[in-house]
Amino acid sequence: MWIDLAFVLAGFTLDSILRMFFPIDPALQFLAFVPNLGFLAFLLVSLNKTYRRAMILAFLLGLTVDFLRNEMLANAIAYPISIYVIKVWANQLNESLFEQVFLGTIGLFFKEFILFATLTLIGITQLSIDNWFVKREFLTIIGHIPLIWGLSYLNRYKSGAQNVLERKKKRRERVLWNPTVKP
Amino acid sequence: MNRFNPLNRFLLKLIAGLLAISVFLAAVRFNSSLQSSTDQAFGFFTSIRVTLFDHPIQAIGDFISDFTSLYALKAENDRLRLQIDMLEQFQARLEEAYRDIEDLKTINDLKESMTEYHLIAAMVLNRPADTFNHKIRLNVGTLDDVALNDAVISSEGLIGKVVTVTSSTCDVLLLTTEQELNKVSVKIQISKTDTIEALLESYDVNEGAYVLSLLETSSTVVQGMTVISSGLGETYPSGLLVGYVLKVDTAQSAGGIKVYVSPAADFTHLNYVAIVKRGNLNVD
Repeated sequence: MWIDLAFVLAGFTLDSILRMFFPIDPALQFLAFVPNLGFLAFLLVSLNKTYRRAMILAFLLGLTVDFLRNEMLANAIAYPISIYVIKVWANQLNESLFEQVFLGTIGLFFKEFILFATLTLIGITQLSIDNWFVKREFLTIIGHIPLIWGLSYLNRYKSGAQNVLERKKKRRERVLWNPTVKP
Repeated sequence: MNRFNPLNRFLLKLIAGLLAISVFLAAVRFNSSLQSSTDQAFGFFTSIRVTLFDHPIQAIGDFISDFTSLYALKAENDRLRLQIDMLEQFQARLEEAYRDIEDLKTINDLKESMTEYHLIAAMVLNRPADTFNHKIRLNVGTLDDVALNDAVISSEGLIGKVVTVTSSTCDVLLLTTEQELNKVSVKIQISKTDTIEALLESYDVNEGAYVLSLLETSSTVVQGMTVISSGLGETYPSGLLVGYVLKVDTAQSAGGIKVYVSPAADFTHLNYVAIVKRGNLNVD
């Protein structure tokens, strides 16, 4: 679990680094690229978790993001809903790299749409949906495709490392349980 | 059988605890001493993040930007040399204008004029993390004589005003916010000597421009006219550049004629800004 947490935190750290290179324009006069590697890292991690745990963790993560960004529970609503939908779709797909990139792209779009819809309903923004897609989503989705690819590779290495650690732990447990077998 | 395993129960308790803490913090938000403590704690972590990540990355980005713009430097140098030659003339005219202002103040028994202000330089610590976020955090606070509702400008124009301030940091609400609470009294320069008053009501994110409502309709506003702060309302001094007229909506509505103004400031690259304090003449 701690490796998963470190993976997600690394995603958010990369977000803040990417924001230095691609500053966000709050005036939306130019196309915006909004880094979401933290959310995508969490999405990849949650694919291996149960629905209940994934949604609870998603709500917790969204609440933390809202607390830091002052966005009035919008992310706390968007994260669990999008994670639930992606997990339902993931059951119908294999675990190939292409399908993980596809899931990540769809998940990102879904999360952004729910976030935009929530903020519009609350009255925080009056951005029209076509301007939202053109000025914010287009470059964000396109820019994230290669990033999701790299993140999926890293997730596979992380999962492999976790499996190795898990096997070592289980081997040690068997040795400790059976005192007649010498370590 | 319990539907939640121990980890899920722990997470649910954690969520409940965080929500309770949020409600508690919101309830004690009016306690200024406690709020300043939490802001100082948050500012400590912000300082660490700025030192470890933002500054080095900014330095690398600036180096790459400077290196790639080397070829354009010569043309820029020639242009700037011409401007420098003109600067001495402008400096002499400016000093003469300052002397005229002082004489007029003495004649009219005024303590200060609406154009007087001095600047407090500041660095941006936190930039917007999202396009729906319209606040930035600066590294100056009450210890640097920053107060609530002080105007904030960049090198290109007005960007917002201070909405919260602690001893060492302050939050600035940008003019790009869609909240209609951020009104600014401005004037549109019709000619070198004539202006008309208007009120900057909000920012239209779909048009990418400020929305002004004219307080008088006797003059004609055309595209390209300069819009500056008027100094009325006691929040912003007079003369701060706001933007340039983009288009005029001549359809009459309950709010009068609407003028769309493109911002002069570049909100994407906000690294160093200045807080405007109304007061003594800036003669430096």
